[in-house]
Amino acid sequence: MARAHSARIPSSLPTSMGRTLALRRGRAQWTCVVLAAIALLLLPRFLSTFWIHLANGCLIAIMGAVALNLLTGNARLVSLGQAAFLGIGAFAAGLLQRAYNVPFPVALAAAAIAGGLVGFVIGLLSMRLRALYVAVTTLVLHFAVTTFFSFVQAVFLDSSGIILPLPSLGFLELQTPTQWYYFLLAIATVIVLGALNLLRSFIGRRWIAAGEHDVAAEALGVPVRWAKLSVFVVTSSTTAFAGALSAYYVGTVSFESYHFGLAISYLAMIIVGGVGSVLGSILGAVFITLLPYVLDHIFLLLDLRIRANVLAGIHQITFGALIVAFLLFEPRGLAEVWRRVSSALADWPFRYRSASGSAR
Amino acid sequence: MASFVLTVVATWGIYALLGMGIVLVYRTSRILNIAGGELAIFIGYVVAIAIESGLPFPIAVPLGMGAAMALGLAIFWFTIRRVMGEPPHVGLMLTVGIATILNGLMIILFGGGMTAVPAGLPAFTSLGSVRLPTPDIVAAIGAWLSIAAIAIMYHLTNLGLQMRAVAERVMLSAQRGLNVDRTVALSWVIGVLAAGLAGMLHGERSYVALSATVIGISALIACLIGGMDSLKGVVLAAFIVALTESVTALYIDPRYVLIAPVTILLVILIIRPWGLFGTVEEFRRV
Repeated sequence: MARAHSARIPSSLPTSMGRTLALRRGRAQWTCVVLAAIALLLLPRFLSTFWIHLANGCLIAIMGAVALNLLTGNARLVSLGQAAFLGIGAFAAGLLQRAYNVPFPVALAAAAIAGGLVGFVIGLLSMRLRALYVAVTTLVLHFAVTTFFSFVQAVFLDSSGIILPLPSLGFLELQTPTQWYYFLLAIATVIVLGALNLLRSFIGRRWIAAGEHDVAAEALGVPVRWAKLSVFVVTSSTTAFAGALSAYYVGTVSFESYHFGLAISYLAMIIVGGVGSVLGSILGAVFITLLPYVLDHIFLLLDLRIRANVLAGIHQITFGALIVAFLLFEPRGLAEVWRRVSSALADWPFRYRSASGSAR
Repeated sequence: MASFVLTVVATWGIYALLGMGIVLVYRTSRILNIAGGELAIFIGYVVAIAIESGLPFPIAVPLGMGAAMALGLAIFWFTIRRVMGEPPHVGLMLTVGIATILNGLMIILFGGGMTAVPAGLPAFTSLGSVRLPTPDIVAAIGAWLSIAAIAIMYHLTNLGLQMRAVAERVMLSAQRGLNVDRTVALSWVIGVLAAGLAGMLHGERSYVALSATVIGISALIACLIGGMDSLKGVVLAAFIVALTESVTALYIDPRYVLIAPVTILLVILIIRPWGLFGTVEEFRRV
């Protein structure tokens, strides 16, 4: 049957390079973007304080997940050091704040620079290493960094860590969760757009080429070493920046927050969301951030009285099972599910899209 | 002094055993097993709980070994089998998922608290004029016997020959009629068994707890220093790791034992990234 053949040809094949590179294609997508923006801007009006806190947590997770996905999904350098980089940002900002009482933006910038510097060193190492070795190097980095922070905290700081003041941007005081929400939303938007833009520029394409096949990329003239180094610097400094933001948001810095489970939950975000997809990072970050609360809520509704540490175990098993299940059964994650569902909706009531695109 | 040497030998044996499990599995299936520490401590818990519920030590240990082999087979059958041949990061992230599941299981099934694997022997043994802690002697002997058994299996038996063949060229060994799936499955069974033995012995000489999974990190560091694909390398590198850790714990602070091995590893990664005994082809440089 001819139908089976023609059904696979996408009707929306872009006809020019400009269209391929465009961030948003077509009126429908623009409408979606505008509607989503309005919904996000109005969101705090409909949520209780608790849910605004969760939304803020999602926004911070989105920043970290987008950065990790650039590194692990696009450049194929598996990083198990996400928690370490978050911690580096938090400690850099926190120590500066404590020692010199620097203004909030300066502390954030310092965090980004500190993360970038450590990322530079790891990137230098990774230029000589292949994927698996990079993963283990970052794993070792995690334990080295957290040991160092526990040492700093035990010797120079109080046992509870650093207490951070409420930050202010000069014109804007960040006190209520709603103020934080708009601030974090703006920054997350900048990071998401930045990632999308990087991926369609020559920089991002170099990262992807180096990740897909380094030897082939080198043969084609892609500077693979430069690509590996730059992706590490960019993503680590973004992650450290997110770490500093989250430290200010929570109000404390302590090495206990940056345990290995945090690195794994970020890895879970990009695997569940979709490896190599910015949309996937967002979906995964929201999913994984909300998952423990949704689970707790379900247990509450079912009136199961579960002890707190058993609950922590259940959370871990769910995380691990999600990682394994998505890797085995849906390696492209929620982003692929999203794409399938939305294209099915777009083609409705037909099952396939015809070659001429008449289903639109 | 004698007891310090014994400590180093016991720690060395445990790290080497755990590292050999990781290397065995890596050589045949090209999957870097991050979950080594979790597998070890999980089996350690199984044996500890078995002893607590009244089973004698000589029965609980084979029980734990059986559990480890079953666990290895299950991990291969349900997950690893499906990702063989995929890019290396898939298998790696898979073992991260497995490690997380095991962590959660340890919390739910065993409470995650601190417990031990008592062998039921006196605390000290006198050898002439020196008194040595018996658990360390048991751990050292057990670990080195297991290491010898694995080395003999790998170098002198048919199964070991098949594993080496698969490690060298999967395609060619499959063409020669070798059952690759079976060989890889057995390497996982033996790899997890080695991890489980290491976990039991660690529990026997110190304790079993969630935090004890950090022995997996030390073993991984030993694997990398020695070279991911070299059994000899991991055994020698485990000595470096065990020695530096024991010295740090004795003279500086037990909390910071990882600092020295990590520093050595970073130096190795800079000057000789394929490890002390790893093959250079293994490590295709960009």
